[in-house]
Amino acid sequence: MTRFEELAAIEKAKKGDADAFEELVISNQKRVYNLALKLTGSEQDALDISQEVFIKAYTNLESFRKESRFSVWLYRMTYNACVDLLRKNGRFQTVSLSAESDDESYEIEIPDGRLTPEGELERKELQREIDEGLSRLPEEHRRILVMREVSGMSYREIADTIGISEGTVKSRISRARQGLVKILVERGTFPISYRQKEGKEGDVHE
Amino acid sequence: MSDCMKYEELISGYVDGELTETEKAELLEHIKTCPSCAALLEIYESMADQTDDMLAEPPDELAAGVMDEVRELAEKNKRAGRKRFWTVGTRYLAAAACIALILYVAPSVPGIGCGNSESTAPMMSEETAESAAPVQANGADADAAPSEGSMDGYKKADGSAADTAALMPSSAPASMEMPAEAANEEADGAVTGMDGMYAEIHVSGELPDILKGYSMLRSDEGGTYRIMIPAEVADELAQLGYEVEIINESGTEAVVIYRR
Repeated sequence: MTRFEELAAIEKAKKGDADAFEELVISNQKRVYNLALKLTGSEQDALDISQEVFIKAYTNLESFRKESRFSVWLYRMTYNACVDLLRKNGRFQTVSLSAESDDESYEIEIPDGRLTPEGELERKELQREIDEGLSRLPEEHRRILVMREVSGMSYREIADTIGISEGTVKSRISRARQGLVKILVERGTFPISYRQKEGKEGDVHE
Repeated sequence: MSDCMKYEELISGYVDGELTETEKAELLEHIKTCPSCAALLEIYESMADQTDDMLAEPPDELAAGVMDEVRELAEKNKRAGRKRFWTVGTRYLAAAACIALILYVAPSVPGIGCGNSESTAPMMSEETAESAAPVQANGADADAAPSEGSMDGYKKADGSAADTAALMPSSAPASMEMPAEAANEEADGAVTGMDGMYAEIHVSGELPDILKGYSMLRSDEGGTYRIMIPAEVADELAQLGYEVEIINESGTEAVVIYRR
């Protein structure tokens, strides 16, 4: 849906055109669902939350500000709903990430040959590996990386959603990726060796 | 190679398209001579490459469940709105194209006075005797008696104070559970579609020219006015760039907020 089509559908939906709202649901449901799925880890929770988010969006259409994107509005609601759920279930870990040090350095030894997968099959396989790797990341790293990659929200938008500074978003995503690479290299996903020259093995403590 | 830590964050930012031009240039320059960072960039890019088809398909029940609820809500609003619309219609509505607007104007706006109430008065008095009508019927009263009281300044055509409870419970703008689709449903293209419903207008700053000359009621709540204008004027306002929002207020009244 183009931005214009989106705004037109929203206006129609505000006036009670349910079909117009359905268009909005269909074009956004995949990302909303996947965001919820990756944040909660549960298909049932993801389904419940996604439905809740869309219905909430419908009943609050009047308060949607046209300047921002409808999808971002949905992602925000999704994120908040997931965090609320995780908190309720006691699965919300507030990990102190301040133990990250800046004076590590790493080395990558690159073998000959291809580094990253090509072709659809290999990319699908990589995707599975990434999902596995993500699940092994510390909660806050996983969450922010998922946010960024599934929703495509900008650092600014993520910062506003989570309530942290843009700089923190940037560095946290960077750390998350570092962590993910380490995991994947250990699993042999990437044919490189990735070594840290000094400092601790893991810079995030649970 | 051991300096590459500093580039790691840049590489991450690059993949997300969040670098400044300067940062981008710096990174790309470094990549030319650093295979480690080039490799990391390639790896990050492949990790971030989440195209749509890699995402899980949501179950059919997602959309189905949502739309069941949405259609129910839309139906409810329609029915409720229709009923209310009808009620208001029999009691307060004038000719199809009339809307009453309540106007909030910044205090600095000069000369809000009574326009020619003659033209609007007949429309209101078309109503049955028992129905309440805004005091436009008596333009002079509008200015002279701001003490009508907040929103309750309605008078019956015969001059006695109306029971405005039904007209305007004066609750806060409707909760979000009742979007204004109801009020709009009779509209055919007109921005407000408020045909005959009372509406409230907020204007900050200068009163738009097209509103001058319409008879207005003034309330005692410093800066609150009621004004009755036809639907075309409302459309014009929208075209002038005034933002129109329609909120259904408690069902007996429609509220249109114009904001520039």
